[in-house]
Amino acid sequence: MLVDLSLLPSPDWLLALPQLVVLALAIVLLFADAFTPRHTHSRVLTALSLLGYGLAAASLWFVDGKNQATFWWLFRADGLSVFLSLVILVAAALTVASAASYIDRLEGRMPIGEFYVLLAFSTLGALFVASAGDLVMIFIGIELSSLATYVLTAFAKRRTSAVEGAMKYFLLGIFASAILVYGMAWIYGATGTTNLDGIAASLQTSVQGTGFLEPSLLFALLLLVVGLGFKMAAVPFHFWTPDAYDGAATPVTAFMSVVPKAAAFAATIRILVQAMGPMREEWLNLIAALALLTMAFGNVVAISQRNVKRMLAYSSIAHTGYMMVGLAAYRTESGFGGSAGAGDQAVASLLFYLFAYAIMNIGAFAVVAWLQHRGRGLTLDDFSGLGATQPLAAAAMTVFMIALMGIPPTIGFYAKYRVILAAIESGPVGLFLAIAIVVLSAVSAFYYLRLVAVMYFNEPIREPRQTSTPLLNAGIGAMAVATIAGGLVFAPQIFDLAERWYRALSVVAQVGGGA
Amino acid sequence: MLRYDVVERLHRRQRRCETGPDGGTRVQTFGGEWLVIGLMTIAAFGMGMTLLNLNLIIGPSKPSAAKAAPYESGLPDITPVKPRYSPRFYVVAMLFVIFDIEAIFIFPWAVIFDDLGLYGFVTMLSFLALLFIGLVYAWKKGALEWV
Repeated sequence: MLVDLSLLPSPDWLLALPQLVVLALAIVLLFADAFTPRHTHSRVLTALSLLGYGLAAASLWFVDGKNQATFWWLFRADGLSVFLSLVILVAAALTVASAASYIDRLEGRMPIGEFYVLLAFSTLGALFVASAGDLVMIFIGIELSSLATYVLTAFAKRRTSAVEGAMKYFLLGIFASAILVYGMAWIYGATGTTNLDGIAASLQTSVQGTGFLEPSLLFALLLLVVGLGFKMAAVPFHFWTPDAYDGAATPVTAFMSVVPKAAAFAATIRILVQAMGPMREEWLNLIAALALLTMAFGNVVAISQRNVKRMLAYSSIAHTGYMMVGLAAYRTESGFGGSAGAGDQAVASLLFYLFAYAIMNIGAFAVVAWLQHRGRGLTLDDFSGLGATQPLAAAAMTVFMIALMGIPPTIGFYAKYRVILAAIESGPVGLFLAIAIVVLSAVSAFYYLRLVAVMYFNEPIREPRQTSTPLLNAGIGAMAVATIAGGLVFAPQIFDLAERWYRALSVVAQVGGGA
Repeated sequence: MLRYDVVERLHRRQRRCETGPDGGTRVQTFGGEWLVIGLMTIAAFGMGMTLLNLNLIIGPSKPSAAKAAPYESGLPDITPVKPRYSPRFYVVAMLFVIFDIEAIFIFPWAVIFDDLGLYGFVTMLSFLALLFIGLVYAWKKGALEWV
């Protein structure tokens, strides 16, 4: 019996509107790069990028609340995809704001057109992962995002450390991709489908029916966790992170510490929670162990860093650990597709943390880039006396450091509070992880506050070079305000938005079925 | 499910090709045309190898240092022999790979073109449009200029 293709439901293009807008942005940027005159080049491309990401974020409004799968269940528009797309688009726009003058002026004037185009393609890949309904879609999205990020890492190509970092990132990255896709192949072999709902349905019957789990599924799970752990820089797979983050141009570091990480967490939630939710007993403790390792290692090694960029790289590893606690706290009594219980706030807390992390981490890197504009380096000493000479920049950096540490009234505090709450509610392992977060946050206070102390209590080394960076200043200001306002005013609203992921998933599970 | 049907349709099409226009089975030609091609291959390979090796067997061989020099009757090299070639060669090779892959996608698409219908046509057209945009960009950026 042949299937008449015209009888298949036609794809609903409106659901993919944010992705289509970013794709159009990438194409427009390509042409604008090739056809605009040199002197207006940088401004035109920056304005186009900001406009494109703004339009894409606005188009999320059309997608919100639809909760449907389309493109033959390859693509889903649900609460999870909307929230993650919002995080990714905000991060991309903030990166543009902090990158425009850096790429154009520092490190021997890098080609800004290619930079924006690669940024758009990396963002597009991450958006596709966020709304993937199929393992194949997840893999393609991750690859699109990663390939563009490898090139971005090497963007300061005259500096050997950039090329070295990119090479390490690239070689280990393709290795991890191969492991990831091998895990997907095992899943396909064990369940007979690459569709996420189909895998969940198949696992549900095999787990409930016989109580016996095929060993091949455990092997697949292991391969997937290794592949995804690399992409989100979890600890035994983190070796590329410090070199790649340190070597890349500072705005690129800001971008790659957020967007590929968001894509990796999107893939992890899609695969582990949505598809492999029925066998969560197998992966919960694995993720819990990795989370503990990740936050302990990241925080302890960050103490000994004198280079601020490296310190922020290790701090981002530690934050990966905190976010993984949100995943490890995932508990649900009612099974997949049921009503949201207490433990289901765990993934919502992870999503909220991702949002908070995007703003405060890009903010911290933006201040580092701001100082580089003014002829300072990357070591702690370059920050000395900033409070006296540049009070606003020092204040912004202090806000970001306090937020990364998780002290009220910032958004970082609320994010950490939610993760700890979800962990405590999930049981004894979660309680242990919650205690670990608190202890390690105290450890992290050492290196975050050391930077603040250096800025306010050390003597200024020399007057910084005068230069004007209006867009970067506006970006840092917006991020600092958002870090505080997000903690004081908007945190409950944003958390409500993050919480809708679960409801959306269960709706689609009923509509889409295990096709 | 869809993929298996496409494969089945391809098999059916292949079977259609193997039957003659009147519906009757065509004469099996194994050992006919294939034998000719095989003989041709053997003859071509044998001829080439024979001519190469005849030189070794019946040609005179008197080696000397002057004969081993790169240019037997010229001046010694004063610059490195390896020329510095433009890395644009690499860009052109990359463009070639992209269009090579385009061809790989187009051939199976063309085989089942009438089964895919308008949707398949539009899909391939948008794929070609994206590639074309890339080509315009590469052209404008000077990737096709030699030197």
